[in-house]
Amino acid sequence: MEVRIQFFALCREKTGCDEATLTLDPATSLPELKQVVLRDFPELETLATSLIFAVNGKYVNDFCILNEGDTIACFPPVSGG
Amino acid sequence: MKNSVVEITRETIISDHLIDAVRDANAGAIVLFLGTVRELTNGQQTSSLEYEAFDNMAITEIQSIIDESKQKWPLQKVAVVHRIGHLEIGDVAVGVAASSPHRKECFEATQFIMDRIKQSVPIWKKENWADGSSEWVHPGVENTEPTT
Repeated sequence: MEVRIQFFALCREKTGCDEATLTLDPATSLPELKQVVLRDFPELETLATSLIFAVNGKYVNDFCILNEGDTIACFPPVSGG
Repeated sequence: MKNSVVEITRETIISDHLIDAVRDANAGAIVLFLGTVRELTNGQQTSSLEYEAFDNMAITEIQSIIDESKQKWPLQKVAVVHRIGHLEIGDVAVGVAASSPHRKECFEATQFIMDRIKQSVPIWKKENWADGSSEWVHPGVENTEPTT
């Protein structure tokens, strides 16, 4: 199945792209997604322990199962304000 | 929703607009907080900042923070505006205004909302240092290599 992934801030600069399409196994979990992202975008490795993922514009926990067509946001810790 | 205003903008934040957005006949207090661009951080001199947001999610997150604050305190109205793009020293980066019958809950709620914004809303800042280097501010991330 295919999902869309968007990168923000330092993640966008390191990957060099705003967004990409990922091909995942059906019923991929969030921790599995993270492994795929680090495999496809090894330049994010230095951020591995602090990467944050949101699915369809919402924070999710590690038990989240992804679905075809989901939009995933990948970003480093926030620093607004 | 009608008792709150949430906005991500590239324009200058006008504090009077925030105050007007929370004026209410049942309010005895209005608190306004402005976050402004500081020149010195731990002795390092900032030249300017760049802010980036995941706009749609940022607005949803701010709205849920406001909803939570309204459950904790008897607030009349709340307005939150965060600016993105290029900001100079002294520019207002974020404004939070709240109104309530009495001042105590208004002070507390405004601080709560601002603290939560810094914790969870998907907005990021990049420091352009006076020495010409640039660096994303990502709390907890080590070895964030400067980019030029």
